[in-house]
Amino acid sequence: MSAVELVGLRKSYADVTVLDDFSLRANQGELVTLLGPSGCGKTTTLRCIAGLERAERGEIRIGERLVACPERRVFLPPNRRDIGMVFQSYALWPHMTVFSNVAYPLRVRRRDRQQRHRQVMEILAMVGMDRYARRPVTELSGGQQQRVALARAMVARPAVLLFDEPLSNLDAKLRRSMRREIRDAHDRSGGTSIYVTHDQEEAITLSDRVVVIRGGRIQQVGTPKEIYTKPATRFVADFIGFENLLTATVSEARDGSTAVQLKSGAGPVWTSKGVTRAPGTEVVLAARADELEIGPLGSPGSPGEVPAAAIPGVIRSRTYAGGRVEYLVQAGGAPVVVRVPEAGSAGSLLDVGGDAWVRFPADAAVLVDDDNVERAPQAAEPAVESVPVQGAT
Amino acid sequence: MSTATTHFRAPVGRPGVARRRRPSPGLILLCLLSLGLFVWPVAMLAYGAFRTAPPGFGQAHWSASGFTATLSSGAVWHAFANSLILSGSTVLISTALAVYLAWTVTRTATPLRQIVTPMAVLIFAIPPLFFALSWAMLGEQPVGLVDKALHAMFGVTPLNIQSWFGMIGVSVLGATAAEYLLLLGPFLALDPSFEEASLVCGASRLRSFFLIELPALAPSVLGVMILGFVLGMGLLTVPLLLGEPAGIYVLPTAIYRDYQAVTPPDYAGASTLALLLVAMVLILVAFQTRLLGRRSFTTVTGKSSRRERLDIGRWKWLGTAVIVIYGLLALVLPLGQFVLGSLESYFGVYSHLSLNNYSTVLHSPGTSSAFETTLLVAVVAGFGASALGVWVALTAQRSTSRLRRLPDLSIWVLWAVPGITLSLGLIWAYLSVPGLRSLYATQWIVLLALIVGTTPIASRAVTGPIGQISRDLEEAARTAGASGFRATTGILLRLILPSFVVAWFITGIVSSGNLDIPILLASPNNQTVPLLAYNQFNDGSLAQAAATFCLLIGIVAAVLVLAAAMRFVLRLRAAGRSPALGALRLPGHRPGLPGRRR
Repeated sequence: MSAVELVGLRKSYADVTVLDDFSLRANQGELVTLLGPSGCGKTTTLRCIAGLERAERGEIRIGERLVACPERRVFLPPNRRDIGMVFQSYALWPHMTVFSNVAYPLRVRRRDRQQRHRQVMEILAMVGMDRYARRPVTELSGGQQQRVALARAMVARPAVLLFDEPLSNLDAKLRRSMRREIRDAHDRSGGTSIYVTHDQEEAITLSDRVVVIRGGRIQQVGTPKEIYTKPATRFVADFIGFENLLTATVSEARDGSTAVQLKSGAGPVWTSKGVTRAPGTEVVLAARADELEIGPLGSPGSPGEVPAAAIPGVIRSRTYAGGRVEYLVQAGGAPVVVRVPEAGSAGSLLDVGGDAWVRFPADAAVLVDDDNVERAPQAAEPAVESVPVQGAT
Repeated sequence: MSTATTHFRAPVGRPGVARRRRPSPGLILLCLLSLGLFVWPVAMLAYGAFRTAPPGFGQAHWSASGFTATLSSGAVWHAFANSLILSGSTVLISTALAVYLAWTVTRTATPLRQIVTPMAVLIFAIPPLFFALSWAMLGEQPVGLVDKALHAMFGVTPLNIQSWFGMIGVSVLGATAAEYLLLLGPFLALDPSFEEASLVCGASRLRSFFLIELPALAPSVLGVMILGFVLGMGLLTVPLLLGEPAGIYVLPTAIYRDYQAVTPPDYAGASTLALLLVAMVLILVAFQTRLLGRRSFTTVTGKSSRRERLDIGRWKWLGTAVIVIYGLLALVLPLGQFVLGSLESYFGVYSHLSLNNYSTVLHSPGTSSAFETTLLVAVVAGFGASALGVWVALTAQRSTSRLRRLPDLSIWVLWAVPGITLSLGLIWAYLSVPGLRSLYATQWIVLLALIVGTTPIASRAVTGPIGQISRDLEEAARTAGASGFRATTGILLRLILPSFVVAWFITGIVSSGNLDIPILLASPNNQTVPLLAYNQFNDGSLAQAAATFCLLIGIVAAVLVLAAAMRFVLRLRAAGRSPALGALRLPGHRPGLPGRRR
C-alpha cells in the first residue's frame, strides 16, 4: 500500500536553510515520529509531505506515486495526495457542525449521502463523539475538538495520516489519554502515520520509530527503545532526557566494553553500551540521574566488583523530588545529578557539603559521540541516515 | 428601627456580585450629553412626523395628516423603491469586487496587489461629492473626457452618466474602497490552517475558498454589506448630481427636496421619509442579528507567516487588470478630469488652458471664508468627536456604574440615521431648543452637527485600542505611588494618544468632505468647501467648481503626506528609544485580532 519516502529534500526560507538533504522512509503501517526542538524542520517536513509547502529539491513518494519532485516539475497539490491531517490548532471550521466538519472529506470526494452519513457516524462513534454530531464545533472542549479533528482526518480512510503536534494544546492528563486514542486509531486505520512532536515522552510511548531532527538534519532514527537507551550523539542524549553528559576520553577497549577517563581526570568508568571508539578518542559519557548510585565516602558499596569505578565528590545540594531524592554532586570536577529512592542505595540521607562517591553501573552509562554542540554547531555534523547506532547493539 | 436595619445592612456586600458604584458626576454629565447629542435628534425625527410645523415656525399641533399623506403618496414609495434598488445593487456589486480585491491582495501573488490598499485609503479620504462631481463632468455631453473618448471610438455616445447606470457605477467605485478596507482585517486574521485543512481533506483551492473561507468570513462580509447598505440608503451626493437630473428620486434626494422646496419646510413629510429610512435600517439590523445569532466565529491565526501565496497562473493577470481598471475609473480619470477641468477657461473648451480659475477662486472672498470654515470645522469637529469617543469608550470599559453602557448605546443609535436623515433630525433638535435656535445658520451649528455626525466613526476607531490597554498598567502606576489623576494622565491617556490622533485625523477628513450636514445647516455666509463646490457646479461654473475641489484635495493630500512623514519620523525616534510603546501591549491583546476562538 502506501509507504512514505523522502529523498534528498531541501527547503529554505530566504537565506535560512530549514531542511538539508533530508531522506527518510516510513513503511506501510508504521507510525513514525519526527522529534526535535522547535525550528528544527520537523513541521516543515510534514507540510512538504502534505503538499502545503514546496521543497526546492528532492523527491517525495506516497506509495508508488511520486507526489513532489521539483527537478522533474512534479507537484501534486494536497487535495490529490490522499492524506488526512490533524493540525496543531485542530483547524475545525467554525461555521460548521461536528457532523459537517467530519463529512467534508467525503463530500469533496462525492460519496453519496447515505454512505457519507454511515461513515461519519461510524468514525464519530469510534472517537466517542457521536452524541455531539449536531453541535457547532465552537461549543466543544479542547479534548473534544481534538477527537473531531482526528475523526475528520480519518473518515475518508486516507493512505497516510499526518499529525502536527496535535496534543500540544491539551493539559498533561488529557494528553496521556489522547495519546492512547491516537495510537488505537492508527492501528485500526492500517495506514502509515507521520507524527510531529517536540515532546520526547510522547515520541517514545507512541511510535514504532522515532526520527530525531536537529537543524534540518536527521540525528538518529530508531525504535523508541533504541533512542531511549542508546542515543547516538550528545544532542540526542540531551534531548531524550539524559541529565549527565560528561566529556571523556577512551582509555581502553576490550570484549565489547570500553573504559573512559573523565576530562577531570577521574575514572576509569567502564561501560558496555554505546559507541566503540579507539583509545584516545574524545567521547561523551551519558547517564540518567536515576541509574547512578551514590554513597557516603569511606564505605564504597561492594568493593569486589570489577570494573568498580566510584568517583569521589562533594554534595552541593539536595532536593526532595517526590519519593526520591536528587543530589547534585561535584564529582571529578564536573557536576553530576543523581536521583535515588529516599531510602535508597545510600541507606540514609546524605548531607550537603559532605563527601560522597558516585558510581556509574556498567549498564547505566552510554558512550555517545560528541557532536560539538558548542564548538561548531551545524557544519561539522554528518547527515546520519537510517542506521546511526554503530557497534554495541 | 428600619433605619437601623438599613444602616446595619449597607456595608455588607453581596459576595460574587461586582461592586457597583453610584454614577459619578462625570458619568451623569456624559449620559446627559449623549442623550442630548445623539438620541434627541433621532427622537425629534419621530416627533416631527406628527407635527404640523417645524419648531420655531409658528403654531404647531399634533397631526397624523402629514405622516399619512406622505405614506399614501405614490412618489414616496417610488423613491423608497429606488433607494432599495440603488443601495442594493451598489452593495452587491461593490462587495463582490471588494471580496475579490481582498482575496487577491491577501492570498495571491497578483502583480500590482501592493497598490490596492494605498489606493483604497486615498479613495476613502476623498469626499464622495468629488466622485459624483467628477463623473458628472466626465460624462457631460458632449464635452466630458470619457464622453469625448467614447465618441471618438464609436462615433456615438453609448454612455449617459446621469442615469441608473451612472449612479450605481459611481456609488460602486467609492463603496468598494471602503468595503475593501473593512474586509482586509478579517481576511488577514482568518486562520490559514482552515484552508489547509480543507486542501488536505481533498478539496481544490477554489472549492476551499467557496466552501470554507468565504463561509467562515460570512459574518464579516455580511456586516460590511449591511453597513454599506445602510450608508447607501443615506447617500445624498451621487443621486443628487447623477440621478435627479434624469428624474430619478431616492429617499435622501426626496427628503432634501421636501426640506428645500417649500417654506416653511415640509416638516412632517421630510420626517416621515426619514423614519422610513430608519425603519429600513432597524429591519436590516434585526435581520443580521437573527441570521447570525450567537454564531460568532472570529478567528485568530497562529502562524500566518507560514502562508504561501497562491500561484493562480494566468488568472493573476485578470486580477491585475481588475486593479488597473478600478484605479483608472476610481482615481485616475476623475482626478485627471478635475485637474484638466480646473485649467479650462470654460468647461469643455480644451484650448487656452490657464490658471485663471484658481486666481478667480482664490480672490473671491467666498472661497477664502469657505476654506477657513472648512479648516475650522474639520479640526475642531474632529477633535470634539474623538474626545467624545475616548470619553465614551473609557466610561464603558472602566466605570462600574449601571449607566456606563448608556453613552455607547446612544452612539449606536446614530448608525440608524444615515446621511441626510441625521441632518434633518439635528435641525429639528436644535430649532426646538431656544438657546441653540439663535445658532441656526451659523458655522457653530454646522460644527456641532459634524461632531455628532462623526462621533460614531471616532468611537469605532478608539474603542478597540482602548480595550487593549490593560488595567494592570494603571494599577502598576498606582502601586508605584502615582495618584489616580497622575496614573490616568501619565499612563492611560498617554497610551490612548496614538489612537486618539488617528481618530482625529479620520474624522477631520470626513468632516472636511461632508456635504449632507452643511447642505441643510449652513447659510451662504458660512458654507464649507464641498457646499461651495456643489453650488458652483449648480450655477454652471464647472471649471471653478473643479478648481475649488482641486484645492481641497490638494490640502487633504498634503495633510496625508505630512501625516505619513510624521509617522515615519516618530517611528525612527521610537526605534532609537527603548522600550518602544508597542512593547507595552500585552501578549494576547494583539491589535486587529478579535477574540480568541475557544
